[in-house]
Order: sequence, then structure tokens, then C-alpha cells
Amino acid sequence: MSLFTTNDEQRPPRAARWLLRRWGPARRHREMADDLDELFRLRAARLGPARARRRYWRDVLSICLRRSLRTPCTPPVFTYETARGPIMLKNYLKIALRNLRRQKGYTFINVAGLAVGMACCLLILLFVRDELSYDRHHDNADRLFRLTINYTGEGGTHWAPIGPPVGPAFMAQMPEVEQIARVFPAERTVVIRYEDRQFEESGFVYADSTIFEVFTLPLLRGDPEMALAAPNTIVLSERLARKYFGDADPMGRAITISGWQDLTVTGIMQNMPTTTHLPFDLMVSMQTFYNNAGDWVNTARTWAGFHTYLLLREPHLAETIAQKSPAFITSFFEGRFEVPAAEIAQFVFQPLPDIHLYSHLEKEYRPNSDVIYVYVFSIIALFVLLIACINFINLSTARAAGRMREVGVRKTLGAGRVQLARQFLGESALMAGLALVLAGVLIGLWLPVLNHLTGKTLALADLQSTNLVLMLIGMAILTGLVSGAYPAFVISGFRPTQALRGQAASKTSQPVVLRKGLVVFQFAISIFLIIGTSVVLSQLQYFRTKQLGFDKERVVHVRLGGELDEAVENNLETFKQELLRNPALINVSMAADVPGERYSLETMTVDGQQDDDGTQMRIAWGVDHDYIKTLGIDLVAGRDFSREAPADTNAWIINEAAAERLGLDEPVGRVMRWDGYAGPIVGVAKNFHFASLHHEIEPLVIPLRPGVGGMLLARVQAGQMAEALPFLETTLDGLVPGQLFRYSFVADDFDLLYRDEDKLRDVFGYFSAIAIFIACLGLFGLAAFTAEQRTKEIGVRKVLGASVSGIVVLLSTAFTKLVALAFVVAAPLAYLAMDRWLQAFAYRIDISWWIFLLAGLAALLVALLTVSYQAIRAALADPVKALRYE
Amino acid sequence: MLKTMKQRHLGEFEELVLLAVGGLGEEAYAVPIQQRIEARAGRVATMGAVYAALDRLEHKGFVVSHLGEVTRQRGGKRKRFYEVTGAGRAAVSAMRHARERMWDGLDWQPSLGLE
Repeated sequence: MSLFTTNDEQRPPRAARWLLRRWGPARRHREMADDLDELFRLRAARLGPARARRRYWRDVLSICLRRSLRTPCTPPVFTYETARGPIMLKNYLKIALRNLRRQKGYTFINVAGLAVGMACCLLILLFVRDELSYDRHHDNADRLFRLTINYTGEGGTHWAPIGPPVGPAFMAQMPEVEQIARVFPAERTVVIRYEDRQFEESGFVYADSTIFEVFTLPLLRGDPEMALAAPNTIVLSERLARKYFGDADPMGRAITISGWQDLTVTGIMQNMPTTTHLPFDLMVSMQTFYNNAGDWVNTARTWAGFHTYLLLREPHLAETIAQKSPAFITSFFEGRFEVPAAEIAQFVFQPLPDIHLYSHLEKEYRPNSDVIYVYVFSIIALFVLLIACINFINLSTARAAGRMREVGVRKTLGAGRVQLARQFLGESALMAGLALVLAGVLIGLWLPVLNHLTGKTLALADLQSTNLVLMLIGMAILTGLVSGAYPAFVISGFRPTQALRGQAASKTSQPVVLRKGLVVFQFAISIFLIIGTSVVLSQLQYFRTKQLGFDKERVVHVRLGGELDEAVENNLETFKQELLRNPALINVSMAADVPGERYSLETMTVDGQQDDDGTQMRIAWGVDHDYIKTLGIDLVAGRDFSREAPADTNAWIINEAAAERLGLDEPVGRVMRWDGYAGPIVGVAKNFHFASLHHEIEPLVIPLRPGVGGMLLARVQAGQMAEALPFLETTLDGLVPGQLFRYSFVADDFDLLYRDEDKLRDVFGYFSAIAIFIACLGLFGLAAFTAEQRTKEIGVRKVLGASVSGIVVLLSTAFTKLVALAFVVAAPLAYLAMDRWLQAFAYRIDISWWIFLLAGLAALLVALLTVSYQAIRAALADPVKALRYE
Repeated sequence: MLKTMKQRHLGEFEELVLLAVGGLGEEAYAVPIQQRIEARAGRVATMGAVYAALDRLEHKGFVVSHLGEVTRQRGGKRKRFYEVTGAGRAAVSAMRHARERMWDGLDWQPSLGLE
């Protein structure tokens, strides 16, 4: 809704009428308004309201801009009171511009500081808006919920996905549910083959045919009701369709997925917006999955696999179904648990738009963001803007003395305090307006940086929908008011007689205290940010260098899949022998899970244990004999899997945490069972970090299941990576020609676990640099001002024999004290905040004293450099000139 | 600036306004004046221009104005009526004669301004 439109299209524009009243000819505006109204009615009938409104605006402007209509034929009696509108405005503008021009340095400092602050703030606004807009593009966003299940029993987990049969059964019993759609992300990446070309794609899901009813996913081609109804059908995003088929018609074309499943393209969907917690590019019909999977899917009640979304008939029905769900749970899971299921399991209905910022469940579709980042970003941005405003306040009050005469004259001529305040507020608004223009340029320059920081693709074009112009103007006015209010208050308070005699200087002691306080505040924020940056940096350094309990360096991780998977599985031992013939490779292993990825949670039981319910533990789905060796995991008891031991057809190695969780002092030799797989525990691995350092090491069990897997791990000799990679590729190609060689390094996979912290480090880093920059701009201005004020004093001191260094010290000490004070304020706060942040990590650094020392020294150094430039200049000045001054 | 010169002179737009005032007779106030200029002279005139021209004409003594009766049609609102004075009539006639004399001996086909 724009400011310039009224709800009632049939009436003249309100803003224009106001303009006429305010700036039109003083004595005739009412008569003119009546004329214009009549004209409007005439024109509205003849030309339509829109054109009538445009003409109305033109007429109003033509009246207001015409000087002859404003100046009455007889000269008016001019007083400050009667001076109205443009005459006075013009004078204000003239004086303001004159001041800006005369004090170019201060103008630059103010405008540059404000511009940087505003640019930061606006960029953050863009970011925040984007974060808050997730999943709100669905037409039914307020009626969409994700059905999740929370097991509250011992070792229970809150899962994002639920069992395949849960959703349909729930819908059948709840009339409040209009429709459901299930999404099953079966694989992280798949290989798509079209004719002789292959592509590796992420964002692959199986989806119910109802997905188009539940979500807003416009189809560019194909029929939403039929697109996913049949087995072996696929809907592609426009982006992928273009990538595979170019300009050719994609409908009905055959593509192959994972090397064996032939699919027909039955629909093309519009590219999804990036603002969704559930981004995907390929949807295969759910029927395809059911046909391949077999009967077990229909009975897998507790398997957490399917993300299930409900479309309710009314938004408020979420409470109703929440109340009715315990009864459903008890009957649905009948016989699955020993206690009534409702006692250990609850459904949690998550509103779709909340998922992105608030949901951190087990097995999320992908890691979600956190609302804390929205807060941290916003607060820091506000602080930066505040620092810039403080500069403005400081410099304006400092310079106020220079405008005392003007204020005196104005007051003598009858200016009231309100008028003066308005004038000075207007001046700061003007400054803010100038800053705004500069801020626009800065935003253009920094947007790519922000996109890089946040992994988003924000564009200024996004803002057109929300009235960018209005937002910018609003921000300029706000900044102008915030930073102009105090100076306006101080300046307008000068008493005219004193102001004209130049005595108000004695009255400025109050602003001086305030000024110092504000400088302390600015530097406190800067020091806080420096400390924050350093702590995040050291924690990240710690993450990256901490010994993980296995050797993550030089391990290549090759994703097989499809035919390749099968081929390797069938010749596992001979194939590994073939690979190991190359001296560049030390060890090779085939496995289903690799450290750095999230392992599944499964329930194990150990024979002879009292507790029969089983224990939930992480499982490395299946490994071969060489897994432990290849990753360099240490064993503390028992032995590695061995080809020589015939008992090792089924065997386990567990980690220390698992032994502890199971309560086994001598785990080796005990038989453990998992879903039909049973075998002895042959070894206990020293705890190693198979997941990120955010969490304690969890209990992990590793079953020996050679051939189960999907990925190949290869440890490479130091310095031979360049040979190993092509060798791996050609050998795999020899096995099954024409497959994509998909690989990464385990060390890199691990690095990706700390993406959030990387982001935070970058944000802190950039913002503290900006904060320091603006704070220093202000300090620079203040130092210049002080030096100028004390020109005479410095001259006298020099004549009396003061040394240059003495004077530099004299001028710098005052500011040094302020920075020291800021440090005293900021350090404890920063300690508390960063300590709190570190609590989120199971493995963390201690915040050491040198971080504080470093931050304090850095701030002091920067401040001193800033001040000393002015101090030295003042100290080196010729005393004769200084004393002749004035 | 020579005030007398300015007072005597009748500008081109002022001429149109003056003729509109004359042509409207009793009903000459700003709105119909503007409408008449648009309709007959075929040019867009902003109200600002109309007011300014009327002011100048009044200042030069070519028109006089008075506030009209409050009528129901305008919802009890006021309008200012204009009337051409003798001086006004003389000025515009003089202008016309001047034009006609200039046209004498020219054999251009009169154009209606149609393309």
C-alpha cells in the first residue's frame, strides 16, 4: 500500500490536498480547493478516476510552484511568525548547504558514517525479510503443518519424518485434515542419465501425487492431478528440464535414474523459490517407490522416513487434531510397544512457515537456519547504525558553538524554540538524505558480499514489491530524527543574549560529558565485536585442528551408486586388490557411512542383558574388513574385523561410548542383535569423532557387512593425490564404463559441518571492521575539533617550551582514557556473551586473556592512530600563527 | 522592469483566458474557464496557469472579480466570478485588429490545425 493512494479511488488524492493547504496561496487555498474538487468530479466522470487524480496532482503542483500566485500584490508584513513555507524553507536550505560546504571534513565524516550504517541496516533488513519469508509463498501456508513424532521415552528422539503408513491412516481418521502429501528424500544425490549424458543431482524426492494440492507448486507443463499418479513418472523443475533437454519439448521423454530406473517426464514445475525448507528439483511418483520397495513399507510404522505434510480445513484445527492424536497413536501403534504408545510418543504439528527458523529435529530434510541468526544480525546492524548516529550527535553538538550567533540572530527576530528545533532536525534529515544516496551505492557494492556470507541470492529487485523507496526514505527520516533530536534540543536552547555575546561555551559542559559517554559507548560496541570475532575464530581453529580420533586427511570418498555399486559389490575383494596394486593408495574400503555425515539411529539388543527393550545407538550401516584400517581408528580392546576368522561373517565393533551405554565392562564376545543381524562384538574402538564437535561422541556400533555400502573410501599416500584420483577414476571406468566419477575428501566433508560458525565468523568480522571504521571516523572528527578549539592553548604551551611529543601526549590522553573505559565496559559483557555461545559446543576453547588483551590493544591502537594524526598536526603547527589566530 | 509596459501588454495565454471569461458571461469562474480553453483552444491548461493569468488580468484592470453566492451545487462552497472590463474588451479588440491588419494581403489557406 503506497502512501500516495487512498482507499477511495473516487476522491481527490489526499496528499495533494494537504500540499495545497500547506503550501498553496495563504488566503485563497480554500477557494482553489473547491475549484479543483469540482474539476476532479468532472474529469473523473469523463476520463476515469486515475487520470483525474493525475491531473489533480498536476494542478496542485502548478499552483504551489508558481511564485506569482504566492506573492500578493501588496508587500506583506514579514515577521518570523508569519514567515511560512517556502520562503523560510529556502533560507533554511541555504544556510544548511552553506554549512555543509564550509565544513567539508565534518560533512564527509557524517555522511560517510551514516551511509555505512544505513547500508548495513538495509542489507540486514533484506536478509531478515528473506529469512522470515520461508514457506510463506504457499497459498495455504496458514493451513499447512508438518506431522512429526516425538518419542519421549528413555533415549527417545524427536523425528522430523514419520513412518510411511502413519500419514494416510491419520487422514482417514481425522475429518479436519483436507489432504496430506508425503515426501521421501531417498538419496542425497542421484545420477540422471538422458541419452548419453549424465548429471549428478541433489534435491531428489519421491512424492505423493497430492503434493500439488497441498503445496503451491505451479506446473508449467503437465496436469497436476495426473503428473505423479502413475508409477515410473517424474516431474522436473524448469531449470533441470532446460539443462537436460534444452529447448526441446521435455514431456514424455525417457530418462534413467541411478542407472536402472527408467522414468517418463510427465510434468515441468516452476523453479521453487529459494525460501523453502524443502527444496527439490526432481519428484518421482510415490508409486514408483512402493512398487520397488515391496510390502515392508506398508507396515513400517516406526521407521522415520517420510516427511508428512497436512493441509487442514481451517488453520485453528491444529489444536483439535493435537487433542485427538493421543487416542490415534495408541490404536495405531497397538502392539508395537510394551506400554500404550501415547505414553511414549506424541505427534507435534509444526506450522510450515516456522520450520525454517525453529525446527532442529532428527533427520531434517536439510539443516535449518536458526532464529538466533536473525536476532544477532539485526542487533549488530542496529548497533552499527547507532554508532553512526552517535557520530552525528557528537559532531553536531561539538559544532553547535559555531552556530551560536546564527541562533542568537534568529531568536532575536522572533524564532521560537520549536521553529529552531525544526530547522536543525531538517538539517540532519538533509544530511541523512545525502547519506542515503551514498548508502544506495554501498548496498549495490556489498550485496554480493552479503549473499556470499549467507549463501542466499538476495537481489535489490526483491524489494520492489515492498516499496523500497518508501523504506529508504523512512529510514533516512528516522536516522535524521534520531541523530538530530539531541543537537536540535541543545542548539535551540541557547539563550539569545548569551548566544550573541558568544558566552554559551560555558553552557556546553553538559554536552561534553554526553559526548564522552557516547564515544565510550561506540568503542565499547567495537571492542565487543572484536572480542566476539576473536572467540569465534579461535573456536573454529579449534574445531579444525582438534584430533578426531581418526585420520581424516587424504581420505578420498567416492560415491558409487547404481550399476557401479553392484559391480564393486560383486567383486569387492578382487577389485580392492586391483586398486591396491597402485602404490599411491594405502587402504581401500567399501562402506555405507563415512564420518562427517549423520549416522542413523537404530535399536540394538545384547544377548543376556536384563534390559530387553533395546538401546538406541548410532550405526555405521555396513562396512567391510578394511574400514577401521582405512580410517585409522584405534582399538582399545579386542581386534579388528578379520578375513581369517570364520566367525566374522557377522560381527560388530563398537566404540567406548556404546560399551558404556550398554553397560558392558567386557563387551568383546557378547552377541548383539539388530533387526535380523546378529553377531559377536569383536572389538572396542577408542572414541572418535564421527560427527561434528558440537556434540559429545555418541554411542556407535559398526557392523561387518562387506558389500553393503554405496561409497568407496581410499587413503592416499602423502603427496600422491594427483596420481590417485585419475587412477581411481579410470579403474572405476574400467569396471563399468561411462559412470560419473563423484568424489570428495573426508576432511572437506568435515569442514562443511562448521558452515554456521563460518558464517558467524564472517559476519562478526565484517561488522566489527565497519563498526571500528565508523567509530574512528567520529573520533577523527572530534579530535580535529578539540585540536582546533585548543589552538591558542597549544600555541602558548609551545612558546613556553612544550615539546611536540608532550603536546601529542596531552591531546591523546583524553581519548585514550575513553577507550580504556570502553574496554572496561565491553570486556565483561563480551566474556559473558561469548561464554554463553560456547556453551552450545560439547568441545570448546577456554576464552583466554590474550583475546581480551588483543582486542583492547587493537582498539587503542586504532584510536591512537586516528587521534594522533590530528594531535601531531596541531603540535607541529607554528605557534606564531596559532597565537595570531582570531 | 517597466511596470507600465507589462500592464498594457496582453499575453497570448492571457488573451485566451480573457476571451473565455467574456464568452462565459455570467458563469465565468475558474473551472469553466479552464474547461473552455481546453475544449475550444485545444490545449492543456493547468489550474495554476489559469489562476496566474486571471491574477495578472485583474492586476492590469482587464477583468474584475467578486465572490459568488453560495450555491447548493458546490455543496455550499464559494467561487470567484470574473467579468471583463471595458479596458479588457478594448485590449482584446485591439489585439484582434492588429492581427487582422497583419493578415491583410496574405493569401494562406486558413488551417484548422488538422493534420
